[in-house]
Amino acid sequence: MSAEPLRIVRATIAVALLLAARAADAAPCGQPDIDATFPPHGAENVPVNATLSAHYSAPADYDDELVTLTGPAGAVPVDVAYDAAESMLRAQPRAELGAGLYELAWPALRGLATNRGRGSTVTFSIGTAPDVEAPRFSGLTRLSWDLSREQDPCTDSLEDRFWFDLGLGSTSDDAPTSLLAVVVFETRGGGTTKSSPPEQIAVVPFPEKRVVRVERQAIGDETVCFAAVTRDLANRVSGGGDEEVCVETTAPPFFYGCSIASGSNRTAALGSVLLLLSLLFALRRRGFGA
Amino acid sequence: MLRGRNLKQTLRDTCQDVERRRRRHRTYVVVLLVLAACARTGLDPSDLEPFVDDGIATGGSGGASSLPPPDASTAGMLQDAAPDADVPEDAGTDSSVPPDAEDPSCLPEPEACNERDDDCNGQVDDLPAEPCEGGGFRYCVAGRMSECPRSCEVCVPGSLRICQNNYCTFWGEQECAADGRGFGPCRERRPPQRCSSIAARKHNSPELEQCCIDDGYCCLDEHDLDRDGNRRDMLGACDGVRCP
Repeated sequence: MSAEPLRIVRATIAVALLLAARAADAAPCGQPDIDATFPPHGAENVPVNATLSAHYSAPADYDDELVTLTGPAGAVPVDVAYDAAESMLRAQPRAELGAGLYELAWPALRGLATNRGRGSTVTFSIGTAPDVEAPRFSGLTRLSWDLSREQDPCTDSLEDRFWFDLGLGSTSDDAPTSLLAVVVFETRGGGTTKSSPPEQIAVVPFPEKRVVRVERQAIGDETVCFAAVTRDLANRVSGGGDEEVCVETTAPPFFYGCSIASGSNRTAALGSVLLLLSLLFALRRRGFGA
Repeated sequence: MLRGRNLKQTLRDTCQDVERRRRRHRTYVVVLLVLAACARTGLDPSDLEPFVDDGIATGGSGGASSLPPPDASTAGMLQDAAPDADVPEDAGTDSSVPPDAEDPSCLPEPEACNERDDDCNGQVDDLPAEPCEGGGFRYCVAGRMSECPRSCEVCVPGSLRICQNNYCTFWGEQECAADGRGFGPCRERRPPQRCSSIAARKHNSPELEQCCIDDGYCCLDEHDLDRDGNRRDMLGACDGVRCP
């Protein structure tokens, strides 16, 4: 065999291996992976009457897969139910949990139109007190947004989405606030008007940085409003849903050309002011308007 | 000599006048800043009137430093959210004393979904969630009850529907995006045997859409066969495509 065909075969194999590796690295198309658990991994002082739950990132098909809760005294019996509307698997211990360290194995579930996603095993410690009070929450405080355009693993094309960063106000509860869930609603925008019922768009753990990011279809040229409430592990709900934050979105494509610095940070604002002042100074020196 | 003294006196008066004006302006600026700070932190500017008056009377600006520092947790909070800024972090731990219980102007009533604190507990619309038949809950948000949640927004991630195009085969597939928020582009495919002759004869047409439905696919209703005025919905076997 001469050197030339051998080189071609080697190159073909290398390309095939590269493509296979890329395919393996690519994000799976819409598989229901667990993206949040309540309580989260490593949580402490979890109330003794907590309902345990796991959120799946896509609609899943629950087929009586096993949820295993193991405590200091061994296996703990739980009643399991899948909430298809929230893509949430809930496990309710049949009795109040005793204090100590627990391990909870959430199963991997099959997607409605996709393969089985990833499950998750979390550990947490149960405290001594039950959760008896509803949480308090002052609502959303601010909002920033922009466009993202990312390769979608299902459609294999670039998909436009608007992301919104929602600032959360102050919160308190009789259990640690890190155990709360934030339920986010779109109160205006998309198909929701001022008079139609708000649409629930996300349930996420209360973030340490007090900012929740949600994504929506990039429709644009409309007013979009959000509100949120918090929910504790005993399923009690706070107020704060009356505080709406709104923004006018613009349909893509965007033009960033006229900004001397990208983004809406202080440096950009200061730069713009300095630029304006220097322009005014230059005009005055040249005697304009005199 | 007398003229010189008069000139000196006039100059001194002018300087004092300028200094007084400068002080007054500085006071105005401080007052404005204080009012602006109050608006940001949620404090009621009227609470600070005595302080502001003092500031003007003495003509000093040192009073600003006696203001309580802005609370970092409420910085940037909308003005409407201000009443809650006074609620301490651990307010929820003591249920016996609701923050507004001593407010004589608040007459407690059962809480309703109306953007008001009817029960005077310092929380607006803090109502329990209502369970939905198909799962999830409804919440009181923005003065009205929310819709029951849906597992996805537009379509089941990874599911397929049939679309028509104006190119060679007039038949295509659209896949639902990973986040279920919409479909990708219509990618051309070969039509099934039963519909290929219709595609060849009628191209992108209501007949081809009908064939798509009859052949058991989930099909984009581009020709509004159900006459509901919506050409972006789907018809046919769409159980695994539409959000359950």
